[in-house]
Amino acid sequence: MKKLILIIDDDESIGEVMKTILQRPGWETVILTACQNASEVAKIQPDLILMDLWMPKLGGDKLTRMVKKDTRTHHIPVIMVSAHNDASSVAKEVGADSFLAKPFDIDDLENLVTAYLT
Amino acid sequence: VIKDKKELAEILATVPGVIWEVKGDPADPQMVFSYINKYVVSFLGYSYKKWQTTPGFWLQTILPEEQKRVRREFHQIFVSKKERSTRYRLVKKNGSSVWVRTRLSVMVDADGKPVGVRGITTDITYYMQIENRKDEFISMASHELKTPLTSIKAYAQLLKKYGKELNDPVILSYLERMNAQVDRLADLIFRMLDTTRIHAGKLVLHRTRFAMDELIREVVQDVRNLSQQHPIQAYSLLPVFVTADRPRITQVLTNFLTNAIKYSPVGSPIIIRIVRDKAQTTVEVQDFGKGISKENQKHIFERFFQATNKHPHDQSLGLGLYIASEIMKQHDGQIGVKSKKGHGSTFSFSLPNDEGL
Repeated sequence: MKKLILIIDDDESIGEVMKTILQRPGWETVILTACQNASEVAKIQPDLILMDLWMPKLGGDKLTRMVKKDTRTHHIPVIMVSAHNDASSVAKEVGADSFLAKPFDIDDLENLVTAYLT
Repeated sequence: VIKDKKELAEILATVPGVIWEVKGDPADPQMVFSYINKYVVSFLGYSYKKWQTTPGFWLQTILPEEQKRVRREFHQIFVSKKERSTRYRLVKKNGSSVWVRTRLSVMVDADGKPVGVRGITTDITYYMQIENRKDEFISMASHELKTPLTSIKAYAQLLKKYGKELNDPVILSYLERMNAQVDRLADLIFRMLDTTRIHAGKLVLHRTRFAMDELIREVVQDVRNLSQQHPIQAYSLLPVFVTADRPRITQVLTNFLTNAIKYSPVGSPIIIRIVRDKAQTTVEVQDFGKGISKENQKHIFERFFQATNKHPHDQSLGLGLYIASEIMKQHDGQIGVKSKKGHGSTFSFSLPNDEGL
């Protein structure tokens, strides 16, 4: 079965380009431009989450905390992806499994995702 | 012409600035003012007597988290005997805080030994609020700029990786150039943001112990990958350990090396050395370029400073060395330049050695 990656980013263009990159090696993707709680994630049951940090309604930091606390979703690896300079320490603090800075190299994204999905 | 003492006292009580004098080191925790003008009472609210008689009262009025830094800076100014200024926050009697700028001049005795300081402290709260708003704006703007940049970069890389018809070497070279320019734009934005963070006092160090010689080898390799126009020679790279923020020190050294490449003729060597003494470890980067005038050396580590004789196509923002010097300041280290016009420059940074080594 194809692995499913959930992309959460308020900017549609980022979601689209990530989808394009990740579909090439054969992964399935779902894009959310906003996500309010861990239940939404639980419904999708992805194998991996790519999480933006700065989002207008609910930030990726709070959402990661929720995902990592909820028994239905805490096993799902979260990679925080952000253009914010302080984001790597934030990612660590809230329990994200890894961090990727924007703008990223497409190979870095692919390798990181591969590392969590194999 | 001031007619009498009364008139002078009147002027000093109403001039919008605190004028004061201290005998001895102003960083002394028991410091008492030998003179302070009455304006301080209307400015901060505490009684005039407290300022004149309570030892260390001045220190208590500084915002607690800034006391250590301000004392260190005052002490450095006292020892250096140079006229300099510093910014910090004071807490008023009513509990509110106020940003001030203090400019100090050092009094010396007949032997040139520092014996005291005279200062003027003025309210810069309004100015700092505007600065903060500007920094917030830059921070927001750079974040927003990075989002479209992320897409552009990714699509350019996708084209290069998967475009079937891209066997055409011309297309490939255009894409490579496009990628390089995107990286350059990303770097500019990153530096803009970095400067803002440093300015807002938000640069946090993550110190680890690492081998400086290894770091140098890595940086030299990275720089060689970018440009082979200069032979880069590294001397005396014996294993030397320091405790510092490794990525930040990498940033400083990369900045020195890329500057050396940029400002010296193709083919001229660049030399890197480690010098270690009892107290500190110094890394030097020497180039044989056009050098920097005495006047420019004084300002080269300032924010947005650009040498006046810079090349017209040089599009840098003048932030690299400012960021480097702020990084070294945070490390309690040093940064410096030695140069003579026409004879090249040697940039150096020093880190204090670990204790007990």
